[in-house]
Amino acid sequence: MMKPRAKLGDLRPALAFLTPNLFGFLLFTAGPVLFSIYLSFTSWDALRPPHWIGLGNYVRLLGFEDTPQGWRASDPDFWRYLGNTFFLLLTLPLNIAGSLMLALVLNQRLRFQAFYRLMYFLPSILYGVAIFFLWKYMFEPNYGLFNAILGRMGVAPLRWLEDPHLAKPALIFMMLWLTVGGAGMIIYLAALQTVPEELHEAARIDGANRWQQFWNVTWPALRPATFFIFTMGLIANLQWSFDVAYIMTDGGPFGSTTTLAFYLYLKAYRFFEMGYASAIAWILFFITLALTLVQWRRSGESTL
Amino acid sequence: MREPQKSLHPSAQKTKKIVHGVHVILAALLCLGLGGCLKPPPPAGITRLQFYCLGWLDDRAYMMKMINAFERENPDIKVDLTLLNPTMDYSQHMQTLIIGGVVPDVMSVDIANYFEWADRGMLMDVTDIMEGAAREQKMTFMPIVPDELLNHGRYYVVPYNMCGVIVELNLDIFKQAGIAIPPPAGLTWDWVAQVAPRLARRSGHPDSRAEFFFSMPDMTSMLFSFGAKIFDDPVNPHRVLVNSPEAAEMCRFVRQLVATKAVISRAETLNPSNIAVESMFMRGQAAAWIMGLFIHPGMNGVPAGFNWDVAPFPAGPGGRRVTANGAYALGISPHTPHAAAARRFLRFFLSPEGIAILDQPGAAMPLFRELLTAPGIMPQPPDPPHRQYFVDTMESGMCAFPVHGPGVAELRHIIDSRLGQVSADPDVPIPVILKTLEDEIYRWLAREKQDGFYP
Repeated sequence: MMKPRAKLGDLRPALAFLTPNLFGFLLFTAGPVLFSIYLSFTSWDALRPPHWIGLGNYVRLLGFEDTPQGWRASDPDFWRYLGNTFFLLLTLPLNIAGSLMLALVLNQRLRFQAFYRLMYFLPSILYGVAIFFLWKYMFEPNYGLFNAILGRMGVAPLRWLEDPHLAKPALIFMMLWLTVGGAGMIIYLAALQTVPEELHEAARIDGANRWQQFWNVTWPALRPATFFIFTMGLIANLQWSFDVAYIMTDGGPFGSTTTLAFYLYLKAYRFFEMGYASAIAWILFFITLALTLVQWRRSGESTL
Repeated sequence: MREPQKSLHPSAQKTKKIVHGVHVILAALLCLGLGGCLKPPPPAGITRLQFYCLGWLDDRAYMMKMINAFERENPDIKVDLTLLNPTMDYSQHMQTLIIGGVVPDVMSVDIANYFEWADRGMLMDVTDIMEGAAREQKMTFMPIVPDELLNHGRYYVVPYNMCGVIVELNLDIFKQAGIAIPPPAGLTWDWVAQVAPRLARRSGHPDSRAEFFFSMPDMTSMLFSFGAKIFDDPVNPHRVLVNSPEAAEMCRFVRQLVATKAVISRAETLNPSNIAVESMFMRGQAAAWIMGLFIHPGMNGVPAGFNWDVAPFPAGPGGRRVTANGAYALGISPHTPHAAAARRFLRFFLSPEGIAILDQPGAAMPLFRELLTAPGIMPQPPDPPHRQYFVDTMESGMCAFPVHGPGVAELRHIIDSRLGQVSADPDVPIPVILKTLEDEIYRWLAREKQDGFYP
């Protein structure tokens, strides 16, 4: 009879520490998430009570309708912004490649190694609104730093964030500057320490050159780290585009940098379509989930 | 029988103390938090009004004057002012408050969301205040007031500052280039196309003082000035008419003008912190600036020696004069428990005492014709020679509003965004842009109808 009482006594401190967090989680995370599921099946303008429309929002988002001009998407903007979202996902492989290259370089015995590591890591600490504003001014077409440099080289000024063909690559470039030296590089640096030197030695004895050593020894050993970076990066990339679009381009020019995350915001907070925005949020969630599962499955197959 | 409790292990005792400590700290924080949220109750017989006002810091001075004067006249009412910066997504801020059930009694209404808020039951009907003020003071509202704010024949806001956009000109720049102001045939888009490249260094005139002529205005005003229409009827729209020869002409004009590099394109203008056009104009780097006086306290403090004038918004080929209008207006939440006090407060804005404060230089544009046209009443020291144009923007037929109903903000976003493509993406044929815009507006209309608007 004593045993359960003693266990309960042990639980109390744990519960005391956990309760505030759990309460916060239920109130500010789980609650809104569940509420957003409900909202996605309603039409709600936030000012009047929501009314149930079943799958109406999802049909409008993903459906196609027969028009005199032929079949077309019920919400072409959704597909366009989904395309933008995937385009901006290009940041991810570039980020992985850049982080790996940096990690490989900084893993060498260099003078001022700590200084270089700090310098490359610094942008990811600075990440945020202030940096976006800074880059916005650097991209400014008339007085910005980049066009000033191009001007010195005799190149005509570019409308970095105003040209629909340039805006997305410009944002990818900025994001690479921010993230290449960040968490990915640190994880790769740590993973590189775990690659057994004996394997490299054996490869060298077998006559492998540096590239062959990398491709056949280092890269396979880094696969778990790559999987982790890819998965976390995928989730972050599908979401990061909101603050960048909001601050730097407001989704423009004419929607060329509007991503699903920003579209969701526009619908919810500017155009009074909370229910529709909730449906977009859930579609975004399922896209993220599907891509993660695919990557998970591929990673499992390749390690088998 | 209950067994005697064993004494706790020292480490368990320590844990217990920590847990108790955590509880005490949490309880103290909770009390502090609750204490901070609670306001002392107003003295008996005093009504406290929460007033959320959209405005710059410059606006605080005259708004406080208004409140103080109102409180002197109404000692049973206290007004708590919260000034919200116009750049901080005011409407979202308000909507979030409303969803959270925290609605101020009186609030500024962003004109882009006026019909939206009114038709969705977020604003109290104040038609009696508007009509009563005009009747009591035996004055007439400028036509822009009903043109812009009447919603199904009712008013849901009390405006206190309205005006349309006009062109402000740096006369020294024009003089240096030998260009007469005002233009002999009036200010037209043709004239802009002729003189803009001559005045802009970016167009290959290194001797010009200005980098640019000006930044492109909103596309809705451009469409209207070229005689294009967006709907068959802006109050009860059924057909979208934006895919028209007039709109195509406007697009061709904009594409050619932007190609000269003499103007700042719409895409750049929409990117708000790219170029501070106002400061460029004040520094002489832009020859002209399109802006309304109503949101424009900066021009009240123009530097001495700044030689400037105003001109109407350029007319299109048909000579049609229109302008985008804006307003600062106040509404009352239908959920307020202090409706009577809130109505008294709004009535004060249109009373002789309230108007006297608002008519101080730099405060607001008077809304009554009798005041606006009286000598010395224009809040614009130093006066530009042709200040009458400020008044002209408030005359009948000048209001370039895309539609009179909910969804204006989204519709403007659609128009500006799609027509931004005209200059930002010169390879896309204009008919394709207009057809896409037409489809987008039809879809917008279908959604609004589905929501029960525009029967």
